Amino acid sequence: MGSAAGPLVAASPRTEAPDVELSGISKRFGPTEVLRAIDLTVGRGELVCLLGPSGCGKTTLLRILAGLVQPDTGRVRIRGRDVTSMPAYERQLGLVFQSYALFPHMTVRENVAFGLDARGIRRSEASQRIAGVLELVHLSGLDRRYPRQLSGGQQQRVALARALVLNPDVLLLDEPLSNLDARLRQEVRDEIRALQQETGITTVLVTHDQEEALTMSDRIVVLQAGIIVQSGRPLDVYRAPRDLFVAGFLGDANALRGRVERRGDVVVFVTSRGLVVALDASRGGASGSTAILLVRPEAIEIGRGAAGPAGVFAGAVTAVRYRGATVDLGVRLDTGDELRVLKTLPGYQGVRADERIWVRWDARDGVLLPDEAARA
Amino acid sequence: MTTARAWILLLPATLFLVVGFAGPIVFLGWTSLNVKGGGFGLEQYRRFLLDPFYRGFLTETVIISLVTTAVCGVLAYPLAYQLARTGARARSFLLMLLIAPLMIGDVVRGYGWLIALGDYGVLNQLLLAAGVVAKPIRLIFTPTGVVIGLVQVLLPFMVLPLAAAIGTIPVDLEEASLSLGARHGRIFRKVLLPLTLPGLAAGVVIVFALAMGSFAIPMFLGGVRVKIVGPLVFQQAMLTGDWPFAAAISSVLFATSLLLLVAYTWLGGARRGLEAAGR
Amino acid sequence: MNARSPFFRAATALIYLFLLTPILVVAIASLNDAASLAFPPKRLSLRWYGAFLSAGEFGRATGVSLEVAITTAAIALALGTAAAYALARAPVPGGFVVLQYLTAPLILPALVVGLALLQVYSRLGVSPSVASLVAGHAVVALPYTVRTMYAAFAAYDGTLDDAAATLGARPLRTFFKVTLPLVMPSVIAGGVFAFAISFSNIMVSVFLSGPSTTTLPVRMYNYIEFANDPTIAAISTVVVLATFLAVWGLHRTVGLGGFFR
Repeated sequence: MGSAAGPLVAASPRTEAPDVELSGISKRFGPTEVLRAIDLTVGRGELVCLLGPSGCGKTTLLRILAGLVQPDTGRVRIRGRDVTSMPAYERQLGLVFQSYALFPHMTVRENVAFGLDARGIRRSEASQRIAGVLELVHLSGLDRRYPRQLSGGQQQRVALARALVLNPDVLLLDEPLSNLDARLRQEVRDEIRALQQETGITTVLVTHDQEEALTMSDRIVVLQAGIIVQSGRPLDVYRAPRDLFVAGFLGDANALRGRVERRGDVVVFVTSRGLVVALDASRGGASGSTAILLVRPEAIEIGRGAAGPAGVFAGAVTAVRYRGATVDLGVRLDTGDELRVLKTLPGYQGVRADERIWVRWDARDGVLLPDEAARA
Repeated sequence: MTTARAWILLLPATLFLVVGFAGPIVFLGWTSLNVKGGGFGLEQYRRFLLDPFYRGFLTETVIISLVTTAVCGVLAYPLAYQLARTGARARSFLLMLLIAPLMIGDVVRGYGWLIALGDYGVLNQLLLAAGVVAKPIRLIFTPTGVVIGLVQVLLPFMVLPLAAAIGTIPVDLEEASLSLGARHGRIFRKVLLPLTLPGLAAGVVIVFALAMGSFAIPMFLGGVRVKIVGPLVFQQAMLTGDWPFAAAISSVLFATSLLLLVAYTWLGGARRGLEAAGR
Repeated sequence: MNARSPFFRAATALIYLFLLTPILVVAIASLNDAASLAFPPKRLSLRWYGAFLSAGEFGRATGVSLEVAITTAAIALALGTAAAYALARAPVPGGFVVLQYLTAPLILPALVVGLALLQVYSRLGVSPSVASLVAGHAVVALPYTVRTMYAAFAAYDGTLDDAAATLGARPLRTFFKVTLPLVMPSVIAGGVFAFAISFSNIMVSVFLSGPSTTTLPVRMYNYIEFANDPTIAAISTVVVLATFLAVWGLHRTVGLGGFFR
């Protein structure tokens, strides 16, 4: 799974000392190597998303950060201090579990007060802090309720409040939205992000949902099979994925197989079916090398009729799928290459299957990726 | 929690059983090897296992235990089935009826049976009044009486593992069989029985072991006429004062039960495997 | 087996009646006015309860039994809970074997335990006392507490402990403030069972009782050998009522479903 650039260090772009530093972290459970040589830093106030499919090790990484699991190798540093051998209860972190893990035999108030009690904070100060944090998460009237009397969204806010009231150095969130229904998800997503920016707390969030990662984070770190495959700002990772896995994980993609060729002054991409695509000058790959050209469905321009402006590719519509605000079109070009095109309505309602159309896209929207299958 | 810390928590209980249980039993074995007039040997074991009088105790105890186990097996199925298929509230109530007698103890129950089965006890009064018999049936101090008492005491131990085993069989299986036209008897023979065999086996092992080692019920209902090993141990130890002999008998009893325990553990593993497969 | 057929219900009801027969018989016999165990009693009275209450030896025996039972329950709970916690929540190599070892006394004959301890005590010169009784009873009661608490800890949601840790609670605080309160129903159930097992125990007590440390069951047993009046029936009925009260209490509060595994 290597990329040409070598092992990846997911470094924070912030210049001052990072809040979180994971270096050389690896972990093995029995015969499975769950994490391999992970290097990651998170700057003060950043919200970093660990994104990946189930089994990629992201939750394990979070638990190592929290101190619930000991890494086999590597060091964990928080605010400059090496906490690798420090047990969870000595680290100044807040962790919101996927299942919220609220203490069922305690009221909301008692749940939130738990950490303060553990620290021996005086009652008067504790009350103030509890009131403050409950207000922050909009739960002020519910402090005497028990977790079972609350909705899923409310329970999560209690979990958040419980962690935040301790003013942790870093906030950790494990799949915070996975237990909520679709409608609630967006709302809570925005709330969490707003909260994080308001308090400026350094946050690491684990998810398998790319939409969550794209909308909430300052930086996405993509994990697969225990290693970091890409790290960067959401838009950068989306527009310039390093490989097919990242491309496919973060949204849909059209992947055209072919080779890079030099035709006179110009470097083009020729698909295996013969389609010739102009390449952006800065993206040139080695001439003659096999590669994959990636084009996002929404970046493709589509027009009706057989003839279009010069330089377009002709083809026909094979499928029309309405998705509410968007329409997902299956297109087969005359060369045989198949594409998916995503368009926002209104404007494309009348498109029917078998209709003749043309497509084109800006060369800068085409991303050249190494063809691993050819290499293997 | 680390393995080291776990062992610290395990140590008190484990040590306690070594000192209070395993150790004394080893000592018991050592005592059983004491021969009259000093020295060591297997004389006590020879006495118990080879002398026809004493061997009769072992045989009769085994037979009574087997009969008890068989009767328990039959009676347990309806109770276990009901327990497994009923709602939580009713189940808790039924469990109360099953467990409370266990907590009450052997003395009370043995005494109760003494009254119930006596020549002028409940059963005989009923039978006489109904005209079924002309004179009272002798049940006390007979093997039959002991079996009745043991069945009543040990039935819960058969019902619980069996109920757990039935609980692992989804109701859908029975309902599917019904819709395919099978009648209840057939369902029992072809579906229920084979699938609950591990649970039944576990119950059989437990009941048999406990029946072999029982003492109070045989004392009450067997007297001197029914030859059961438990009361023999008591008599030899406390009345005759022959500790080495009592120790030998106990050791044989213990060894038998230990073998059964190993069988039970192995069966328990099989049952877990079945449950896992059922999922 | 059709659980809904009246035949089935009648059959199970009869079996339960059989299970309760000696207990019912004892209760009724205790009300007999005559000093005999003839059944049914011709006249009813409560005089045997009076006899029981006024007989000093039974009172003393009850006291001994209570003292032994409470101590046994406490020890069995402490040892059993600690062991069960470790077995259920930690990766102990051979943990399965240890669990079987701790619950073995359930099947192994209690009478062997009694005799073995008697011989050891005699060899060591230990005279009968409440402590020597407790040692034997605790061996017999330990499997009950281990099993009850093991089931409870196995079903316990471990992420709650993780959450407590991330909130700054050290392991001891987590155990007493989070874990224990949530398994308390099982602790109570285990304690009640250990108490009852000890209180009603005859097989160990009959070997280990001494002149001043005779338990109630042993005292009752000796009495039955020599006398034939319903005093024992009265005592038995009191025991029966107390036990049913306790088990019923558990049924209403905690629920007995835990024994269904």
